[in-house]
Amino acid sequence: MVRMRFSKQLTSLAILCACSGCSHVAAYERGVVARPDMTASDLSGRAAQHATEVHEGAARSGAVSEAGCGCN
Amino acid sequence: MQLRTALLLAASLASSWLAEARADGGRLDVRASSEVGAYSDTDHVAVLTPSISGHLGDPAAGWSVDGWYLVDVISAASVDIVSTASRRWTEVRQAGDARAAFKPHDLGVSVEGSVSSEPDYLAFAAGGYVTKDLDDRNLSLVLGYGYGHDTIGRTGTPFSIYSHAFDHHAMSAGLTRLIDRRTVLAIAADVTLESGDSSKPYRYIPLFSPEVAPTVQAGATVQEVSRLRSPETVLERLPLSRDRFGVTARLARRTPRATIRIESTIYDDSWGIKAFSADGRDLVDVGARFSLGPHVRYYVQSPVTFWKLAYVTNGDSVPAFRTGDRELGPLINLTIGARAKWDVGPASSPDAWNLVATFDTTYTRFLDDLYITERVSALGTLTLEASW
Repeated sequence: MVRMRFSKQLTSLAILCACSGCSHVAAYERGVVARPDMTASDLSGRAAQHATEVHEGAARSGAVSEAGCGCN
Repeated sequence: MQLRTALLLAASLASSWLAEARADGGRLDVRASSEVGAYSDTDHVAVLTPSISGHLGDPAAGWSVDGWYLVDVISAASVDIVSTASRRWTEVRQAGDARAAFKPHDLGVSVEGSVSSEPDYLAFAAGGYVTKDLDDRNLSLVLGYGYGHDTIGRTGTPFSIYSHAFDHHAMSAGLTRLIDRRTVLAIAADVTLESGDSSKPYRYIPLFSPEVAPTVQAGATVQEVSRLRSPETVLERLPLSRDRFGVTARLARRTPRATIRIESTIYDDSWGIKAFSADGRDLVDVGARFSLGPHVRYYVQSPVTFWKLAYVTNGDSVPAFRTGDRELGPLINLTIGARAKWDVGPASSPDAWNLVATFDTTYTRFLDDLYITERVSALGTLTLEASW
């Protein structure tokens, strides 16, 4: 329960940090962030992802790779 | 059989949408890729991993479907296998997944399903995500949920004779923020609740008397362990539930001639593992069609609370929980590698076809383990991607 509360607080803090101090990017200015290597997804292929999962006892986070970048 | 049915269903859906989209005059995004990965390490494990994937979508209409299929061919004669007087084994795993997404405007949904099959392990998973763009698409939020059901058995024994179930619920929440015209930040939190017995039915744990256990050294050889251990041997036994928590941040920034990506994760779980990882890439443009750059990854974790170098037996009693899984013990990984991408498409669209090659070598230091204290592994991949 304490861990859940800590995770929520950490997430809220992260959202606050992410939303502050950013400049507004208009649709016509998003050419660079639309590049494939700027995606929020992991660049690793399936084999590399699997090797990392096997080598590390901590589960890798999945949600980052699912988040859209807002530019597509 | 279920995998084939799922793939056929996905292909059927894709072909009907393709026909409909073409009839509407929409511009389709069609991509396909093929990857081959080869892994080898100093613990005598080798894996060959060919995979294929495809993507079909209509960006204007907001829909897409993706499919992926992979085969792992694993050959192992690791020290853990040798310590149980077993011979090298070879095993084949097949896995696939399919995904459909629909995002006509700022609100999107996606569903996905996956299956993985090997002689002693069968896994199904399904889940979905909801995404919402805010602030004129400068901010995207995502919420996801997935459920997985695994059946763990023994090779050569039907699941109906021997198997146990393992279930997991995964919840995630994340956001992606455009910091400026050249910088993207993504942050996500994940919670995974697992229940069931994930103990390996082949993993035997040596036991030691209370007098001998303190004398066992990290890295003790198979022969030393055989000499020191008690006659009793027990199978691995893990707690029947586990709650995992992770927070990941990923930042991508484009400079005039390079893309820099950094990522970090902090992790905690109810078994006691605390972990931290940091990952960095720099992809430098070398000419109009070629990019090349280094990759560095660092990972460190503490052990589960029931981790012991030498488990103690007192006559009839044995530890309630015991494991020999090194990835549950204290360890440090350092990965160094490189990635190269070569656009080989026509002059009008050079990146329509591209080749991506990666090579990573990982040094692992096991801090409190029997048999081995370090491992060096190498993974190389070659991917051909095409789009139309």
